[in-house]
Amino acid sequence: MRRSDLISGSLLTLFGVAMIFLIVPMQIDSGGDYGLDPKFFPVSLLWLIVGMALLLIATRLPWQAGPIDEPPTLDRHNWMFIGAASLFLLFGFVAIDTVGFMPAAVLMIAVLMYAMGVKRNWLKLIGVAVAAPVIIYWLLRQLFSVQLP
Amino acid sequence: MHDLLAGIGDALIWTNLILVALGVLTGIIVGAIPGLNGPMAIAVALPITFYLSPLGGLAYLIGIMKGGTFGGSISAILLNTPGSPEAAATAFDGYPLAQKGKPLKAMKMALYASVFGDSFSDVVLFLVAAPIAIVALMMGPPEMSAVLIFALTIIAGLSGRSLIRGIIAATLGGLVGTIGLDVESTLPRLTFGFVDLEDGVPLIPLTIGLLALSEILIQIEAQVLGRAGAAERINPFHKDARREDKIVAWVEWRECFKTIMRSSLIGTGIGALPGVGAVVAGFLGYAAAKRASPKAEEFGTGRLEGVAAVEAANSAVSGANLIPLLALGIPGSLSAAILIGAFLVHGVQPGPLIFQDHARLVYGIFAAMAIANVLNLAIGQFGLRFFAYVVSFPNSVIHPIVIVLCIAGAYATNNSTFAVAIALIFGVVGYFMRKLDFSFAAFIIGFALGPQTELYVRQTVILFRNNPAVLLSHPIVLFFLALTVYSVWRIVVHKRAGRL
Repeated sequence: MRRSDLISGSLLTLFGVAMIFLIVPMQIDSGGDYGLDPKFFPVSLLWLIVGMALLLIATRLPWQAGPIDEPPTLDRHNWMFIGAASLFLLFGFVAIDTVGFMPAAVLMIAVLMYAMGVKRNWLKLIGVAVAAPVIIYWLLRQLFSVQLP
Repeated sequence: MHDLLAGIGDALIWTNLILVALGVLTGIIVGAIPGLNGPMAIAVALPITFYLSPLGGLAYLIGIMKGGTFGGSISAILLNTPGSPEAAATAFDGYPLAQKGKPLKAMKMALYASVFGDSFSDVVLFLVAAPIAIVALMMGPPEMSAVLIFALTIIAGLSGRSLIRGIIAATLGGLVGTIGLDVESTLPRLTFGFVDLEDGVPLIPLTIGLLALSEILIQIEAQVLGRAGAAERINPFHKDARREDKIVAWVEWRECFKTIMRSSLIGTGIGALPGVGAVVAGFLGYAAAKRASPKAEEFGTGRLEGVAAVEAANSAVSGANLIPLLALGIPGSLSAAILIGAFLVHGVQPGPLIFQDHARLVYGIFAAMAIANVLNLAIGQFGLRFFAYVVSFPNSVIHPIVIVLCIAGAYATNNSTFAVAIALIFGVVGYFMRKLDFSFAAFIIGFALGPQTELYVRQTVILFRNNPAVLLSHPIVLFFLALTVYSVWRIVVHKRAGRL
């Protein structure tokens, strides 16, 4: 985990510092004199994150335990996958918000099944993609009075 | 006494019995499918409990928790792939037993040991939780602050492989917990102008995202990138199997009883500690059984005792980890952290006052737990053929459906797409946390406990702002702060030695 610890430690330090000096002053107003300031807890936690992130970096520096030679935790394929997955989820969210749960869910299941290898059995793909959202929609509506969009 | 009887009566209402049975069934099925697990199912099912009575909802979730622990052993035995992480050690002897033509014997021993360990742990919970709550009621904000800081440190230290990463994860959870209106001044904090965020980030969509969606993303990734391992599935109902290979004989049960008892004790002890969890209990139970056995060299080659040791230990965690939740309001595990959401939805704050304000509900939960154990045994025993079939369901069908279920579950939280967005965002965040080994359990528990800790610290400051030195005259505060420092030191020493 050494390489990824160094990277995540650096990113967390940047995140913490940016939050403390830029975001928190803009996003949290100071309260009155009574009790603790509303900023107190977020800022304390952010300083703890910065401190721990620096400690993480310090304990993983090359001279602490030899050179970095392990394979990266996230390789090119992982980045491509999570990029595509994030886009897919974003697309799913927009679809649910605009065309509703049922058509969006049918499409999402069909795309995922296809991506996971159900490529020749179209009957299975369409059957599951249509049946599952219908059952979920019906169950939530009939049993729990949840009206999905 | 009235509350006790009324609680038992509530649990015996047929709708609640059906909900417990459904919970157990769901838990076993979900636990049996590799990649899915009990906590994940609890997170996805949590929004449904809004529409049930408090006891019905909690009984359903507890049923899932109990069923899920046993369910994990089914695929560990039949596929050599644990259905849930806590069943990892079950495969050591379970799969070799299955290869020897005794998968049914292994599954039945797993079931019996699991139910015994679970029941043992529940009895300890029934006996211990209320007395601890009485002690907790005598503690004020400074003491509770110190206890929570101690619990958070232990959880951060023990729930992952690195203490530093664990603390970062718990702190990030606490930071997300500060989003919303400030408890004293009611000024908005880190809401970025979103009105929906003024009530804070909702626990349930966050849990669904971190726990369920991120895991499914990892599973889908493994399948899409061709990195998922394939295992040979063993048919437990092979026609040629002999009768003695299909059952657990009384002699075999008696031979394993000492091991089951030892593992139940280990699991209960581990479960009562915040943050350690069923995975560690399973391995410790297995190691203790191996150490105590005169035939230690046979462990790993298909020894029934090995299956019993793991299953009794990991199941004994589920009852005991409700001890800190009910008595102190501190979730001892991921499942317990999610259960907090179920309690809060129904206006019940877990903690020492629960025995005073909601005694009937607590006794109802206890009764439902006992009923769940009986139903776990019955459903497990009679449903083995079905569960063995479920194990063979292809991931390419299950995972897409679970993603849609997660979305529907998040939406059902408060009928808003905002909750869906939270679940999706934390699904991606959880993916990175898993990949970079930041404990998502520590994050969720930090998120759940953060606001409570802040409240106690604020109350302490208001009480002692003119004279903080008074805190030095509170022995419990000093004790827990010293214990926190000592625990951190011990965790660091053990991790460096590779023992944790």
